[in-house]
This record gives sequence, structure tokens and C-alpha cells, in this order.
Amino acid sequence: MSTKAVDLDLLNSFHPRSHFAGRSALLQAVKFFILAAVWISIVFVAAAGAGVTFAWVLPKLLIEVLPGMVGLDIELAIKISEILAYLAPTVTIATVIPVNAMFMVLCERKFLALLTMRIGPDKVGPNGFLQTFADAFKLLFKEDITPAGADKLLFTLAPALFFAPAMVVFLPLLSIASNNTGVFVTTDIDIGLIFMLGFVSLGTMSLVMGGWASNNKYSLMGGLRAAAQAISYEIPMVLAMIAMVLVSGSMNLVEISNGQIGGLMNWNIFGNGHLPKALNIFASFHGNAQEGFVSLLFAGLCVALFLIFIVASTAEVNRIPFDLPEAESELVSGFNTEYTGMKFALFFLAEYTNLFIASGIAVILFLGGSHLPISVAAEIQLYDMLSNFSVSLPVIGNLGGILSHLNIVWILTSVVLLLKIYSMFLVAIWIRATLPRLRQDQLMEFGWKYLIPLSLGIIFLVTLCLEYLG
Amino acid sequence: MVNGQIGLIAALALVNGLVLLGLSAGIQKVFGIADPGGVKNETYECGMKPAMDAVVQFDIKYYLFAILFIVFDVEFVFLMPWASLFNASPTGSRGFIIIEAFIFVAILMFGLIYAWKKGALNWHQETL
Repeated sequence: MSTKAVDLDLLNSFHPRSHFAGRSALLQAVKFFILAAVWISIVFVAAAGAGVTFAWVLPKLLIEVLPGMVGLDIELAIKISEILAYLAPTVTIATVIPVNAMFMVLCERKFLALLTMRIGPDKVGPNGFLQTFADAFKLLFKEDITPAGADKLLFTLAPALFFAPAMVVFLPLLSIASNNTGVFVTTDIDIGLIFMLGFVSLGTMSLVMGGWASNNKYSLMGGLRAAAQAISYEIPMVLAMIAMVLVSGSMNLVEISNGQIGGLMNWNIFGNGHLPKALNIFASFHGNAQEGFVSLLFAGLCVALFLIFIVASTAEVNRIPFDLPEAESELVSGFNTEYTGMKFALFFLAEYTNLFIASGIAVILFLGGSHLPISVAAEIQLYDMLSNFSVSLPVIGNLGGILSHLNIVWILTSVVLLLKIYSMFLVAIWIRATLPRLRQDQLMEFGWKYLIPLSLGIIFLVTLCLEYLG
Repeated sequence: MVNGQIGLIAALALVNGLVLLGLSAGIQKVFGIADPGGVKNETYECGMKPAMDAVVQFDIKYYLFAILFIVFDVEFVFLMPWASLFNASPTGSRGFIIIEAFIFVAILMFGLIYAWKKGALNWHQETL
């Protein structure tokens, strides 16, 4: 008996919680948020740096400075700078996706550790700062194994084909983040929502492709489950989107975001301004009580739609509690069982990017997009102040003038959007820490028998409410 | 959106993925990491020898859900423009627009209810 007691003591001393118990939870939280702030600023600087360089600095240098200094042909300079500006959105995405996914992985591990009273990675770099960087570096040097009997071409193509749509779907977010300035106006697509949906669905095909090509039963099951889950939960997700298109009257993400300007209560999640209206009617005892009830119902429906969207998009991006395609307790690792090295890293990268994009769509549709929760007048004042603010750089030749005409409102909008998306990401981690995984039959039947009829009914009611409220 | 930019960016995105794969392949060539063969290349099946090829028959129920999904997917294609035009249309004419869309959705709902009653939405299907 005594040896067993000693063993338990020993076990307890190695238990992660006992390490945590010695430290203040508040201190750990503060450390996490400092880490997050530093990493988010790195993500922002990387994205903004790449975007500004290609969209403004290099073209200006080529057109204004270089022809005078080295006698570059102006026609050629204009041509080159046009190409550079044309590439700017793609380069921004290609820069931001790896940096962003690296931070998201670290953020998830640290925040999950905080929620489950552990410390999480803290050995590589200060407070685990460089952990995922080290992981990515390791993955790059891992041996790339193609299993015997695998379809080589499809096996190799699947990760790249999973990564590509995630990268393309990132585009419409740029037009909102950059406040439609410079060449990023080209990413402002009129059918932004359909564009995103179409490309997101392409990703599922590569999961099936990778699962089938691996020549592994677990992978095949994972791929099939991924397809079944994606098509089941796409329906409630799109129905929630359609409801928000009804409210905003546009499929353009920028217009949807701008439709929620002017304070917290104008966000679509609180019924786009209908909640205060209802409360006013009830508080003053004047006005049409029926209209008050309909407004209240409408606001409630919007909250319900937000919840449906969160559930459905969590399932779409294969997150816990809907991560059946890679359920490690039954399918080893699902569709990516046989993947190693860079191929696995691409799957990982794209998965986190998809989660980022899903959070982004949730923010744009429901949580006010890139707008601060302040009144319209205050926001206009803030924007005016920012666009009048000019950076006084030391004048070196012609270089002083390069950034002076840059409208820097985009810094505010992109930071706001980034912070909102990361808040949604923290909610996703919170869900992961809270809920256990579903069973396959529960997953499918919950999607088809509850969410789809529910969201169809809500669309019906939302339309009637909008018709009544005018 | 500049015409052709979507295609360009989709192509660049794919190229980007392939470049990353090529980079790792190059690193393996340079550092001589790759050493395939033997047991290492076997597919993972809990440490046992793989029983047979993984290209096997799988359950028909995946197909049923896929067929049902197609119906709803077509529905979205029609409902999206409808939703974006709803706000722009004059208030007087909206009644007709609503009834039209509801008849359309009702037909689809009838299909869903039919599939439900037939048991196509049950994951554990005894008989069909």
C-alpha cells in the first residue's frame, strides 16, 4: 500500500495542474495576453508590411524616384509597378497566412492550457513565444513518406489543393481590412459571400481526395466523414448567411460591414438597430406595441441565427465538438493519418486559416465588421483625424513624399477586424475546451433534423418581420 | 474586381502550395533525409500488416445525404439573389416576392419531409 501512495505522490508532482497550482492564474492570463498582443502585432506588421510594400512603396519608388536617380525608362517603370500592385493582395495573403496560422496554433495551445489549468508550451522562446516556429521548422525537415499503394499524384496534390482555396477565400477579407484603399479595392467583390462559399467548398474535395489516395481505411473514413459533414452543415450555415443578406440587402461583404455602422446595437447580431427600437416602444408606453414585439422577435431571431452560424461553421471547419473527420479516438488521425512533413503542415495551415476565415465571416455578418462600436459621427471624426494625420518622415531625396499621401484609416479598420476575429477565435477555443466530441449519427441527425428545419423556419420568420418593419 | 484576377489568384494560390511542397522536397534532396522503403512505407493500421487494399466499398448512406444536399444547394443559388433583392424592391410588391419564395421553399421542404419519413435521415438505417 505504501508504495502505491508514494507512486501517487510522484504522479501528482508531475501532473500539469500541480505546476499550475503554484502560480497565479491571473499572472498566467496576463502573460498569455502579452504574448497574444506581441504576436498579433507581428501578424499585423507582416501583413501590412507586405501590402504597403507592394501596393504603395515599390510602385512609387519605381515611378517617382528611380527614373530620376538611375534613368529608368518611365514606361517600363509604370508597367512593372502595375504588375507589382496587381500582385499586392496575393503577396499580402501569402505572407499573412503562415504567420497567422503559426500564431493561431500557439494561441490555441496557450489559451487551452489556461482554460484547463496547465501552463502549455513555455520552453522555446520567452513564454513559449517561438514554439510553433520551431514546430514548423521541424516539419519542413521531416521525411516525406508516401505510403505503399497510394495514388502518388493525388496524394501529393491534395494538401496543395486544400491550401489553395483557403488562400483565395482570404481575399475578400482584405478589402474590408484595408478599408478599400489602394489596390485592395480589387478584392472588393460584389458577390463576396458566394465567392467565399464556392471556394470553401472546394477544400472538402481535397480532403476526400487525400483520404482516398492514402490507401488507408482510416483516411478513407475520415475523408468520407469530412464530405458528409461539410455538406450537411453547409445548409444551415448558408441559410444563416441568406438571412443576413436579407437584412443587409447585399452580398458584398463591405456593404454588409458598412450596414452595421453606428454602435453596438446596430450590429446584425442585435437585430441591426431593432432592439433599441423595441425597448424604446416598451419603455415609453407609446407607439405600436405590436411593432415593438415584432422588433424584439427580430432581434431574438438574429441572435439565434448567430448561434446557428457559429455551430454550423464550427462543423464546416472540422473543429471540436465536430471534428469527426480526424477523431483520434476512432480514426487515428482521419484523413491526414498518412501525411507527414510539409504535406501535413499544409493541411494544418489551411485548417487554421479556414477557422480564421470562418471567424472572419461571423465577424463581418454579425459583429459589425471592421467598425468600432461607436456612433457614426464619432467614427467619421476618427477617420477624418486619421486621414489628416501625416507621417513626417525625414526627407531623403524624393523618399520623403512616398508615404505622405497614404490614407491610414486602413490601419484602424484592419486592427479592429483582426481583434474581433481573434476574439471569435478565442470563443472557438473555449468551445473546444468545454464540449466533448459528438458521435457520427448524432452529428448527422443534429444537422439534418434540427438545424436545417430550424434555420428554414427562422428565415421564414425573418422575412415576415422585415416585411412588417419595412 | 479586375477581370481575370480571380483566376490569377487561384492559380497563384495553388502554385504557392506546390512551391511549399517543392521546398520541402528540395530540403530532403539536399540533406538526404528521404529514406523510403520496407515497413516504413506500409499504411498505418494499428501496427498490424494492412489487411487489404483500402479502396473498398463504403456505405450507401453517404450517397443519400449527398443527393439531398444537391437539392438544397440549388435552393441557395436561387435564394441568394432573392435575398439580396428583397430589400431593394418596393414595399408594396414584397408580398408577392415572399409568397413566391415560400412556395419554392415549401416544395423543397416537402422533399425533406418525404426523405425524413422514409428514414433517409437516420444514420442507422435498418431498411430503406
